Amino acid sequence: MSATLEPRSDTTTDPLEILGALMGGEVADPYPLYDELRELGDGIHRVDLLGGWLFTRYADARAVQADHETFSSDVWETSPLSVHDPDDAAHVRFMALASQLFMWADPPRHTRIRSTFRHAFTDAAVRRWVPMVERVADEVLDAWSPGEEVDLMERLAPEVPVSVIASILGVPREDWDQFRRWSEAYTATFDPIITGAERDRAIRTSLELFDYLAGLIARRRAEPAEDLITHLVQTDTIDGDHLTDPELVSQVALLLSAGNETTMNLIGGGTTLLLDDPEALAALVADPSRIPRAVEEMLRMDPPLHFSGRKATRDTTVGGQDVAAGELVYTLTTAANRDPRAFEDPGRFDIDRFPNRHLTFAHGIHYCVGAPLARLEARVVLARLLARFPDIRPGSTPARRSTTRIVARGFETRPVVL
Amino acid sequence: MSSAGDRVQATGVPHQVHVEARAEFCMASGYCRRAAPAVFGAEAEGWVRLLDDAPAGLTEEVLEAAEACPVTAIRVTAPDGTPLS
Repeated sequence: MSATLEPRSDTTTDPLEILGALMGGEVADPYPLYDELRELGDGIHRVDLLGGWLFTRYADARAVQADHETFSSDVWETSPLSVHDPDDAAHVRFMALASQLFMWADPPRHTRIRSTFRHAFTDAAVRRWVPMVERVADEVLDAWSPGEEVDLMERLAPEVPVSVIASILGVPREDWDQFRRWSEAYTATFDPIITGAERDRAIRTSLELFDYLAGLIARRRAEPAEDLITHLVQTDTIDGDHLTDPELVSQVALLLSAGNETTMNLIGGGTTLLLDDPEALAALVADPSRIPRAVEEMLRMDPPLHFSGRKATRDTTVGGQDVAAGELVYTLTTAANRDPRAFEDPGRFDIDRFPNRHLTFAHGIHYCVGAPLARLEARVVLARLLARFPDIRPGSTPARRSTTRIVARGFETRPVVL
Repeated sequence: MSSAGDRVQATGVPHQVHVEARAEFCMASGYCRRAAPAVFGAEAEGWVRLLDDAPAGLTEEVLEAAEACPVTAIRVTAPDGTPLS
C-alpha cells in the first residue's frame, strides 16, 4: 500500500511515459499508474498530447469541477464526437443532433435543458422503477443455475441497463433488441479508437436511432403515455418553454450512451472488487442492507469513466498551477478517488466507508443527472445476484479489463461460477 | 449588519453567515436538509427551499451542507462578503 504512495526517488519517472503506457494498449490494470501520476511532484502534469493540464489530486479535481464559470464544458469541438466528414450529408445531420448534448453546454443553455430531466431522476422519482429493474435483472438470472460458469459481461451487465432505459423511455418491447444494437452503435461514436469505415457505420446506424426516437417523440406528443418521453415532452423548462424535437432526440440518445456503458462498467468493476474480497462478499450475502454503501465504494474504487475534461475561460490558478485562458484541463477521477489526502486508507475496498465523497458522478452542475438510477440499478442487480447465487466465486479464467479504451476502461470479461 | 454577524466562533468561522441556494441547479439529493434542517427545507418534489438566508450559530452545519451538495448549489459567505464555500 505505502509503496505505491511514496515518491519514487529511485527513478526519474516521467508523467508522459506513464500516460504513454496508459494509452499504449497493453496495461491490464491502470490503477498503479494512476497512483503514480497523483504522487509525482504536485500531481499536476502538462500533457501536450491532450493539449492541456492533467489534475490528479482530489482537491484540485473537485475545485475544477465546482467552478463551471472558470472551467467551461463547451469542449465539444475537441471531443472525439466531433470527428466527421463535412461533405457527407449523413455525417452533418448526425453532428447537428449529437452536438446538442447538455453535457457539453454551459449555463444558461445547460440549465434550461437539464431542468426538464432533473424531475425524472430524483431519488424519490426513481424508486417507482424498482419493481421493473428487478424484473429485468431476474429475466437474465432466471436462465442460470447454481454451479454453472457464466460471463457477467455477456448478458447481465450489458442487457440490464439497456432494457431498463428502454422500459423507462417507453420503447415497445418488440423493439428492444434493435434498440440495443442502435445503442451500441451510438456509444461507439464516442470512442476515439473507432475511426474510418467503422466510425462511418456507427454514425449511420446512430441516425436510425435518432429517427426512431424522433418518431417515438411525435407519437407521444399525439398520444401521451406513462413514460419518460411523455414526461419530457410535457415538462416546461426552467425558462417556461419546451425542449425542441432535435433537443429532445439528442438528450434522449444521451441517456442511452451515457447510461448504458457506464452502468455496464459499474456492474463489471463492482462485482470484480467483491469477488476479489471474499470477506466483503460474505458480508453482503449475510446482510444486503449494506449493499448501498458497498455500491458507493465500488463507484469510488473503479469509476466507469476515468477522465473528464474542461476548458479554462480565463487565466486562473489551480493547486498553485497557472492555467491560461483557452487551455484544456483534464481531471483524473480514478486518481482523485484514491487520494490519501481525501480518503483514509484509499487503496482498501471498505464496503462500509462513510462519508464517501468520490468524484465518480462529477461534482457541480454537471453532476450525473442519472446518478440515482445508476445507483438503483447497481443495488438491485447485486441484491438479486447475491440472493440467487450466494456461493458465487471467480470463474476459471481471470476477468479482463479493456486495454484500448482510455475513458471507459471497463471489464470486457467477468467469468464467475454461480 | 448585526453585531452577531461580526462575532467569530471559537472554531474560527463567523457566527452568522449569508446563505444562497441556487435552486436552478438543485437535484433534490436532500443532503443540505439532513446537514442543516433549520436552514434548508424542501418543496413537495424535494427541491431545496431556503428557510433562513442569514443563520446565526449554525455555521458548521451550513458549511457541511454546502460541502455535501453534489451540484454546488449552496453558496456561503461571511458578513464581509468573503466566500466560505
